[in-house]
Amino acid sequence: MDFVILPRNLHISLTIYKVACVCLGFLCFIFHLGRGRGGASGHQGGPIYQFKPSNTGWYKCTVVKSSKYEKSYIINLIKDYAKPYEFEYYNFVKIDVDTYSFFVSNFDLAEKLFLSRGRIKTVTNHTLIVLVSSATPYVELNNEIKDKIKLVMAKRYNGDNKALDLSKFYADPDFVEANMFVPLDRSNVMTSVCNIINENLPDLFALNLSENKLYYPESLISLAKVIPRVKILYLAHNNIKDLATIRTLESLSNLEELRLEKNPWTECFNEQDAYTSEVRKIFPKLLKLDDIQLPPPIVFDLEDNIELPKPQGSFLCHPEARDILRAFLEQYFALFDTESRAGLIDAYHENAQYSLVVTQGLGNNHLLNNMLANSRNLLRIEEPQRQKSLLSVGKADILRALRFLPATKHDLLSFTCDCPLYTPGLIQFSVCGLYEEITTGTKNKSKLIRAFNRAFLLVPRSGGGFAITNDQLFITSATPEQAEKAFSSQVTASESTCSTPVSNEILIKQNMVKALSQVSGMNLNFSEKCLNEVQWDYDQAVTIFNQLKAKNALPSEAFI
Amino acid sequence: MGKLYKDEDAVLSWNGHGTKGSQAIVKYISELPPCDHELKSMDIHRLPEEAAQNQIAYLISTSGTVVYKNMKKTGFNQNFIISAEGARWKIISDVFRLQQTPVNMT
Repeated sequence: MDFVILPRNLHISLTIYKVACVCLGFLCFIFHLGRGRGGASGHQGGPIYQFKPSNTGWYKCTVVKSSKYEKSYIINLIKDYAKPYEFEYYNFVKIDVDTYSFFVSNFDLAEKLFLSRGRIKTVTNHTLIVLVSSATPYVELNNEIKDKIKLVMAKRYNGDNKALDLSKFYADPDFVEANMFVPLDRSNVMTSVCNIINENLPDLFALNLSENKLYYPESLISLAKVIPRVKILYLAHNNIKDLATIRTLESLSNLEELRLEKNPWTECFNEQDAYTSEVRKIFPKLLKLDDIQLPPPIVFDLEDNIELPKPQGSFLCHPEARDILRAFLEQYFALFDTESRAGLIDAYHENAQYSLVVTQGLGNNHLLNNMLANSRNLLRIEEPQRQKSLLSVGKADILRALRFLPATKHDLLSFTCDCPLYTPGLIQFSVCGLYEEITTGTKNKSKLIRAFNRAFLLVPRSGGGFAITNDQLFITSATPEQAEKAFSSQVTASESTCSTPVSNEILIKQNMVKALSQVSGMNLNFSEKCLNEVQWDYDQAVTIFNQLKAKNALPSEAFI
Repeated sequence: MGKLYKDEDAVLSWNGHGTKGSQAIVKYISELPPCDHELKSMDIHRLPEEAAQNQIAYLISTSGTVVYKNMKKTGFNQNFIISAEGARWKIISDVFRLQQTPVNMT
């Protein structure tokens, strides 16, 4: 209610007025007119009318029967009358032929205008009637306004400190000049600002929202979501009325500095300690409140403070594992990254098992679906026959499955390797890392970086060395952070890379020979000759072998 | 959880940190921050004779997402070997990895 005491004889008509006018938000000015004479609030002798602060902090002023006057003329008249207060107005518009309306944000100014009746005279000695009411501004945003908001935000952003100053945003000269009205306490304006922060300033460090008449918890909820890393937040001189509204910012767990002074809620505390304690319950890491340094908090040693252990590059249960696994990984993935992958056939045991699981990840999943048909995710595949068919058993079957995978280039320096089991009879280890999926025909696109996890079991061979008995490959898309860092740590690689290319080439050729020999039944000598003639193109070697075999054109000594 | 792991011999490798023995493993796990896992995939191989050494044992690979307190959702992989001990399955090894940015191999 805007009035404390009402004259008795007005009571009935008032009620009718109230019902009729509530939706217009014009309660106070109607009573003001009905009173019949002007006068300051608290006027002695007569009924006491008191102009009360608006809930939203905004006052809507309407200039009625003003069709005769130019906008600028009206503004100047009011400006003169308003003295000593500065006449700051927003959204001055003509709402119909006869009426102008505008908003003011200053209570003293609003009260003075409220009490203006009969005192603002035009040049022709007519009275200019200004009606004042508490009101919630209605704001419609179009693209032009949204673009302007973006420009003003850019102007108010300091990239060096990652700080955004949105204090008294609605009063920015750029908006006033363009006669645009963008009060941040309106949820659509706040949403628009939040979207801009979300898209352009994801790691904002400091945000000043002082003097924006903020009161609406929902606005702060959407705000909290887009500024998770903010450490400094100013909300002084707003309209926050209760603790619940401040709690909506609870998720800002990194907050170290907060300003809340001159809000209705903070004004109601008599003791600084009680106030500090309430705020600290919500923001335990706070170091500074309303520009006062706080003593460091004393907290119980509870699970809240548990940090996740820092990841280690590898865990090897036995020191011997290091050299063996390093050599294995370098050789295995050098062969894996060749076009034919034929050399890998020799890495597997005769009874080895291999299977693949592919899942969509948090990064670029483009082309990942191509592999889904072969994904043996037993949480999804229940039919035993299908489960069995997706498991590759034996060297030839496994090589076929591995060759089906897209071409790859592994980033060995991204690898982690954990070996929990290292016994004379069995080695178990898991490798995680990143590789690039080499795509053909999709030039100029960003690289497809995948993350993989691979569980291997190795058993010793009778003739020395090891053979893989089990290989479970898991592939997903790399996260954007992983994709960015993949293949970036080449500097530290010098130690191992200088010797490997040559030895890998020999190894690859040796393994190709073995693979061809196994597939064709030819001896190693002939297999090597055959590969040499086709410049070590394994697929072509197999094709030519099949052609010659069909023609019976192979010498018998090739098979001795 | 202690009963899930093989008494003296079980090995946990958690993001590169190794722990041996069921008691130590349970202690290690209990000291990690509160978390919420979502399992998304699983694959199982029975170990061939050459690797299983006359036991019934399986290699299990799982993947999914996990949220730790104050951290964003992260992908994880967890690989186990389980083996039958009488009528009970026991975890022989447990290798857990978060899908994070590269950590150089040491």
